[in-house]
Amino acid sequence: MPRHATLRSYLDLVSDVTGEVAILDTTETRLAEPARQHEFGQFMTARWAGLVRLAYGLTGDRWLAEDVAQAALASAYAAWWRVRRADDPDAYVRRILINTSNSRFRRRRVAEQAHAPGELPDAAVADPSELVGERSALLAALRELPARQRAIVLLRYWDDLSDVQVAAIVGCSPGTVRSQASRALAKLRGSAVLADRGGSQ
Amino acid sequence: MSITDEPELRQRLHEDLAALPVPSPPVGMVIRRGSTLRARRWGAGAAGLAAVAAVAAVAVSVSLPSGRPAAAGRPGPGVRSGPATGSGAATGSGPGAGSGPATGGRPAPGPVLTGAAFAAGTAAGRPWQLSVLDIADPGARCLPAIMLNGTDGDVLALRPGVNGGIASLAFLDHLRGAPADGYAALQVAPEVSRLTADLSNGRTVDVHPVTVAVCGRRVPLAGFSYPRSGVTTITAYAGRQVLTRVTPPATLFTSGDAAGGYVPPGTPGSGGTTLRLVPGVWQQLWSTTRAVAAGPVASGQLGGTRWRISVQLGAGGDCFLGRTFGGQVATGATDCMPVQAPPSTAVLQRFVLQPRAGMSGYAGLASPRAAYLMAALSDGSSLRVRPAEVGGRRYIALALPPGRAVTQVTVYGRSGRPLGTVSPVPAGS
Repeated sequence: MPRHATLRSYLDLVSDVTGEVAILDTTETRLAEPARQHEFGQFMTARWAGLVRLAYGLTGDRWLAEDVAQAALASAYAAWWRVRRADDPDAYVRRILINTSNSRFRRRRVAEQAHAPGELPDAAVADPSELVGERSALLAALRELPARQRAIVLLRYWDDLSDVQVAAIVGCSPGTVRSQASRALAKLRGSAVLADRGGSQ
Repeated sequence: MSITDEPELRQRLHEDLAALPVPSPPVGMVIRRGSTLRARRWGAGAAGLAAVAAVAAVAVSVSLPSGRPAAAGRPGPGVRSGPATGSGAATGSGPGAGSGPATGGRPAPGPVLTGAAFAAGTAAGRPWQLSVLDIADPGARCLPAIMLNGTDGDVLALRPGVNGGIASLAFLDHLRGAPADGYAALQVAPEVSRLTADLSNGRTVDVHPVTVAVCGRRVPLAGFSYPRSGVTTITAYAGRQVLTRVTPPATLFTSGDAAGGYVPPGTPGSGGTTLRLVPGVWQQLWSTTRAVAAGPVASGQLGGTRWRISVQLGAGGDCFLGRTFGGQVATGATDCMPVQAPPSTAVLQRFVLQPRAGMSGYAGLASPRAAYLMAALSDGSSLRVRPAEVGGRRYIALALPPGRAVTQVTVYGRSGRPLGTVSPVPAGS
């Protein structure tokens, strides 16, 4: 086996182990740093709001959503050569974001169980997202769905992606996307959160 | 509200998510974070390759019949080997020791510790530790604070503005019984991988941030000890790139024994005067207006003078604000005490409520289990005091006319059983 092939296999192995989509820059042609930063800056500026909102739908926490979006975009920048040559860079970044959100959610649950935290005190700064959260029973109901169903709902009904596109991002078949979306819709129809907050809508 | 069909779900999602205000994209920060990530991945890749090479070399040596020793595997570029390079907490001693519990060679953000220590060392022969604790009563919403050896806390204001990598920087060198050294605590941005602190004794401390999970958030923190004469420069790095360099004013370190403490520029309420430095209260490098909790504790009337004592928990510690109103004249007095975790009984501090009339005030913190307190007064009488909840903590306060003082306080639980007895301490002691 040629030496570079062994290297390639090793790098792919690292990629699989870490669970992240893009890991190491290797032999591909690289942009000069300023050009890369410029190109990435344009990409990020155009997609920032959408990614934060997608992360907010996934996490239900505005600050965590911004952090998740930043982490996903930082991962994308770390392997920008791979993102920019992908067939669908947007799908690529969304996939990183969903993976990041899932891993943060797992960590956060562990931390919260240990600390029994409430919301952080924040007397000086009003948090507009809390108003959104109060108003949106739907987002609260979304948080009751399993992570994959939540991602499918958001990608299908908010991002307006096709089942094939959603399947590619989530990593399942289009049929699974349809069945998961159907189950999620059924859960939302019977959601106690939506029923409880009916009067305030 | 109910969701009946897909178009309705689609419409509601669009409406609800569109209502979320989104700040402008932090392109520079993300690029720095991505660069750090890339450097780290390269380091991990190189380490892995080195390991593969070492295994391969061992395999070759085993397969060789005899005679030729196997080549030793060398770490690749970017890989640190050998003992920790930073001032390890477990081994550090003297001023300058510090940083995370396992420091050297680990890039940020490091391990996630839950409510754990993020810096430790030995100073003047005594071990010290900086950790984050939830100082709210059980069941109340989380209220994190950085504590030195479990006492003398600095309220951790999460999500503050980031000054080029360092979000907050506080020093504590005015301590009872520890005159030799001071301690610094920093909250940094996630992309900060390393900090260096140049100390006044000529030494440089290498500090690696440790990410602590607190109140459902991940907060990168760092800390170190320094000689009482101070810190000259602190530099934050993302990889090899310098993010920011901070030079604390020398007055911050020379004011410790004087009556006045360092007042950050722009601090509201300071009115151009220096604040009295209270032992155990951290000094912030940058001004902060943030009070994480504030509210009234007690009020009443003494001989035609109305009084009110409220508390404000923030960067200045637990600060009690006393106000008296007599006729057309209102007077005020403020005294702060170090932030501490809820006590098992109570802590009560005496302060001057109205200097001219000699009216004295007492204020402090009570146990979460305290239902009421009985204050024994110097004239033989007693006074029943109920705690007031402010920010998830139970505070107590009372005022006495001239000539009377509290001799001791007995704390009672909900069942009426006494929890313990304490004596008040003078302010600033």
